[in-house]
Amino acid sequence: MKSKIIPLLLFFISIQIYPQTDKIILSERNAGYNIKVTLDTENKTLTGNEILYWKNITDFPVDELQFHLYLNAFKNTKSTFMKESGMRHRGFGVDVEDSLAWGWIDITSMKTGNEDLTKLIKFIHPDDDNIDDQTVISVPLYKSLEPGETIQVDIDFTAKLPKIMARTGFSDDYYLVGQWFPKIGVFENAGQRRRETAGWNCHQFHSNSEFYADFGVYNVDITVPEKFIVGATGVLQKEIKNRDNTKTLYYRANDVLDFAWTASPLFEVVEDKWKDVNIKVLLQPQHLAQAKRHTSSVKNALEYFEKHLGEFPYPSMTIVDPPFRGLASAGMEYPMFITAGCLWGIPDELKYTEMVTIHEFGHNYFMGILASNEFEEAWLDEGFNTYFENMIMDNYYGEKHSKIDLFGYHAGDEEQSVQGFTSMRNPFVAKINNYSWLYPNGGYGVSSYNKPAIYLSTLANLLGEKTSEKIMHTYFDRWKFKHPCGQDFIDIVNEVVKEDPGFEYGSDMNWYFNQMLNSTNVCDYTVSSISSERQKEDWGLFDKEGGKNFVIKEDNTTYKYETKTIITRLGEIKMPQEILIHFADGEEILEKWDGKSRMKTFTYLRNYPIDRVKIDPENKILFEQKIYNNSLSTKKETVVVWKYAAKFLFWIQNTMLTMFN
Amino acid sequence: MLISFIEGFRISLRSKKMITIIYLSILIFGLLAAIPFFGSAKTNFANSLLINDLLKDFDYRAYSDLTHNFKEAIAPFISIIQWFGVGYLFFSLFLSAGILGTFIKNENEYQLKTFLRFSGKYFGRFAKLFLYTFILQLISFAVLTIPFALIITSLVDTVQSESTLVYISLVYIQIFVAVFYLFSLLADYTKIILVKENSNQVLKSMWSSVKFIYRNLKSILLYILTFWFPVSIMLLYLLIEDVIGMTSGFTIVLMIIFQQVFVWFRVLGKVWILASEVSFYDRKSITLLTEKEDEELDEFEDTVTETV
Repeated sequence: MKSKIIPLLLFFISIQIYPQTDKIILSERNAGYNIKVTLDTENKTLTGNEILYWKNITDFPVDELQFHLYLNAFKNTKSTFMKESGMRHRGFGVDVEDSLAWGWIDITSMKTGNEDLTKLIKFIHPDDDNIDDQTVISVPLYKSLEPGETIQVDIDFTAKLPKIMARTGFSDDYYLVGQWFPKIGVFENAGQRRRETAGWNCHQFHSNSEFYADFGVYNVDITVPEKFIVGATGVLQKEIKNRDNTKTLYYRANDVLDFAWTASPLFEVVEDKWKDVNIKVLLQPQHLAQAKRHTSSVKNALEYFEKHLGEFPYPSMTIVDPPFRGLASAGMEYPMFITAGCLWGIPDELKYTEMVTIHEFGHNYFMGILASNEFEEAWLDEGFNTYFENMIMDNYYGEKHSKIDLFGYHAGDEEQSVQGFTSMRNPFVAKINNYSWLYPNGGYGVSSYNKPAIYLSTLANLLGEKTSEKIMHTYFDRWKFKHPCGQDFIDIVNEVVKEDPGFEYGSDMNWYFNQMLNSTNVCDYTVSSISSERQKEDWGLFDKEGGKNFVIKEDNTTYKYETKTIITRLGEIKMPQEILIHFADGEEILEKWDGKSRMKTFTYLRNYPIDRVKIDPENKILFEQKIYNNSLSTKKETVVVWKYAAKFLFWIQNTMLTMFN
Repeated sequence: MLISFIEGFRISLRSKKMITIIYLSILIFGLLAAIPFFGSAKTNFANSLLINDLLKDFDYRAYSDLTHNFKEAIAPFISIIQWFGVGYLFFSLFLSAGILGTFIKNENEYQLKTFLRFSGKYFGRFAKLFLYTFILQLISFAVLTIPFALIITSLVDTVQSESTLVYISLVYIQIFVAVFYLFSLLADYTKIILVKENSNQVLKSMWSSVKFIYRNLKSILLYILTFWFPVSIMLLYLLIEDVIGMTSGFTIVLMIIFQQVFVWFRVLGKVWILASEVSFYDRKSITLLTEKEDEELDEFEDTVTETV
C-alpha cells in the first residue's frame, strides 16, 4: 500500500509546484514528466534525468511498460524511419558521411523505486519485422501495475541530436529538440478506439507520422549556454543564471501529450497576445519584417477555431522560424509550440508562411487536444487540420485568392487541396483508412491531407452550415483529451443529422463514409447528351362532321418539343446529385437524382428546347474528378475560346520577338 | 548617343511600311499556331460551361481541371511555341539583313524587292555570325555559371541567411544579362560592319566590332539599359490588361486590337534600336583595323571557315 501512496503523493506534489496553472484539469493527466536536461552545444548532446509518473487508467493490469526512443530513428541506415524515407525526408537528406549527422538516445539507467529495470530493457518492433529498429522499448515490471495504480519511473538518458532531419536536430547554433526524451506509449483499454482487448499502442518512428500519447503535466528544466534564447511547449516559470555561463529555464505544460523546445543565440523575439493566449514568435533576424505574418496568422486561426470548433485551452503559443540551413525543421507541430517557415523577400501575395503557420497551429487541436492516433488514422489529424486550414485561409485571405494572388493569377487554399487530389496521376493509389506506414505505392500525402479535407468540405456542403457546425462542436466537446477514432466522428455525424428535420440523405451518412474512407473509387458524373425533337404533328384522315377530313401539318400540339438530357455516372462513387436544366426561353429546373444508377434521363415537353445542363451547379461535391464534363451547352461557348486564342497568339508573337536576332 | 537614338527614331518612323511588313510576318507565324489552337480549344472545351468560369476572371480550379484533363491536347502547342521561337530566330536573321541593308545601302527608303535582295544577300553571313555569337554566349554562360554554381553550393552549407544567396543570385543575373546583351551588341555592330563594308569575313568584322565597342564603351553600355525597354512595356501591358480585362466580347476585341498594336510597337522598338546603332556607327566609325591586324585576321578567318 505504502509503495502506491508515495508515488501518488509525489505526483500530486509535482503538479502543485506551479499552482497558478493548475486551476482547471482538462485531461486524465496519467503521464506526468519531470525532466531535467542539459544541452551540450559542443557535442550536440543532451544529458537528462526524467521522472515519469504513469497511472494505469485502464481496467486491466499492466505487466510491462513500453517507451518511444524516437531519436534512434536517426541512428543508422537500418532504422525503420531511414528505410521508409530512403534517408530523405521532405527533400532534405542525411549527410551520411558526417558522423555528426546521426542521432541516437541511450537509457543509462531506469529504476522504479529500488528496482533497477535497466537490464530488462529490450527493443521491440510492433509494426514491422525490422530487428534493427531501436525506436521502441519494452520493459517488464517486477510486479504488475493494477488498474488505478501509479508507477514512478526514474530514467537517466543521454542523447545525441542529429543534423536536422524530419524536424529534429541541430543546424549550427540552432536546435530544434523534438521527440527527444523516453516517452511512454499508450496502454489502451479494451473498447478504447474500438479495440477488442487492452494493450499497448506504441508505434515505431515512421517516415509519415509521429504522434499518439497520453496526456500529462510536464515540468521541464532546460539548461543551455547563457547566450541562447529558448522557446518551448508550456509556460516559462522562471529562469536562473548558473555559475558556469549557463542558465536554466523552468517550463511547465499542463494537459499536453508531448514537449518540444528550441534554442538559438540568434532568435529575435516578437510577442503578441490574443485574448488570454500569449503568442511568442522566435524569428530569424532577417525575417523580422515578416513577424506580423506569423502573429496575425495565429490570431486568425485562434479566432476561427474558437468559433467553429472550440476554445483554445492553453495559455501560450510559441512559433519558431527556422534558419535557412535548418529548414528541415520547418512546418512541424508540438503542443503549444510549432515551427513555421519563411524565406527572405517572399512577397505578401504568396501566403505560404501564413498557410504553414495556420496548419501547424491547427494540429494543436487534432493531434494535441483531440489526440487521435496519427499512426493509425492520420486523416483524423492531417485531414481535419487541412480542412480547417483551407477554411481559415479562404475566410481571412479571400476565397480563390488565399494562397497566391499575383499579376491577376490567383489560387485559393481549398482550390489547391482539390487540385492536389483531382490532378493525381493515379487517384486509385491508396484509400484513406490506412496505417500511415502502409502506403507501398505512395499516396500518403494526398490520402491523409487533401482527400479527407475535401471530403469533409463536401460533407459540410451537403449537410449545410448549421448541421456541420454542430457536428464539429459536438465532436470537439465530447472527445477533447479523449483520443477519438474515426468511428467516433462518424457516430456523431449520424447522431446530429438525425436531429436535422431537413436531412435528405437516408437514415444516416454511413454510405458516405464507407465510400470516402474505405475505397479508392473516384467520383465522375457527366452530362452525356442534350437532344430535342419537334413534337409529331397531325397528318392523315380525321373524322369530322360530314365525312373525313385530310389534315396536313396542323399545328395542334400542346408543346413544340420533346427535349431531354442524359446524365451518366462514369465513376464508382455514388453521390446524390443536383442537376440544373436550362431551357432556351430562360426557364430553369433544378432536378435531384440519387446518383446510384449508371444513367438517368430527364425528359420534358416544352415550347423551347434545353440549351444547357449543369451537374452540381453549386459545386458542392469537391472531389468530382473532372468538372469540365459536368456541364454541356448546345451551342459552343466561343467567347472564352477567343480570349485564350488571342492570348496565345499574343504570347507566341512576343516569344518570336524576343528571339529576334 | 542621345543624338543617335533620336536619329534612329526618326529613321524608324520613316520605315513604317517595313515595320508593318515585319509585324505581318510575325502575325502570320503566330496565326499558324493560334488557328489550330483555336480549333482545338473550340472542339475540346467549348461545349462545357466550365470555360465560362475563365471569362470574368482567372479561375484556378477551372484552369487546373482543363489543363490536367486536356494535357495531351495542349502539349503540342507548347512544343509549337518552342519550335516557332527557334524557327523565327533564323527568319529574324533574314529580316535584320533586310532592315540593315535598307538602312545602310538604300538611304532608308523601303522597297520590298530591295529588302528581300539584301535579306538574301546577307543571310548566310548573318547566320555564320549567329553561330559564332551563340558559341561565345555558351562559353560565357559556362564561364559565369560554373563559378556561380560553385559559390552557391559552398555557401548553402555555411551561409546563415538565404538573403545572401538571393543577393548573389541577383548579381549573377545582372552580370549574365549585361554580358548577354554585350554579345548582342557585338552581333549588331558586326552586322552593320558586314553590310557597310560588304564584307564576307565575319570574324574580321567581329573583331572590328569589338574594337568599335571598346572605343565607345561608355556610350555603348548605355544600350544595355535598352534591355529594360521590352521588360517595362511588358509590365505596362500586364497592367493595362488587368485594367481593361477580357471579360466580354467587347473588351476581348478591344484587347486583341491593343495586343496587336503593342506587338507593332515592339517591332518598332527593334527597328529603332537597329537604326540608332547604324546612326551611332556612322557618327563614330573610323578605320578600325591596322594593316597588320587586317592581314592576320584574313588568315585566321580562312582557317576557321575551312574548319567550320
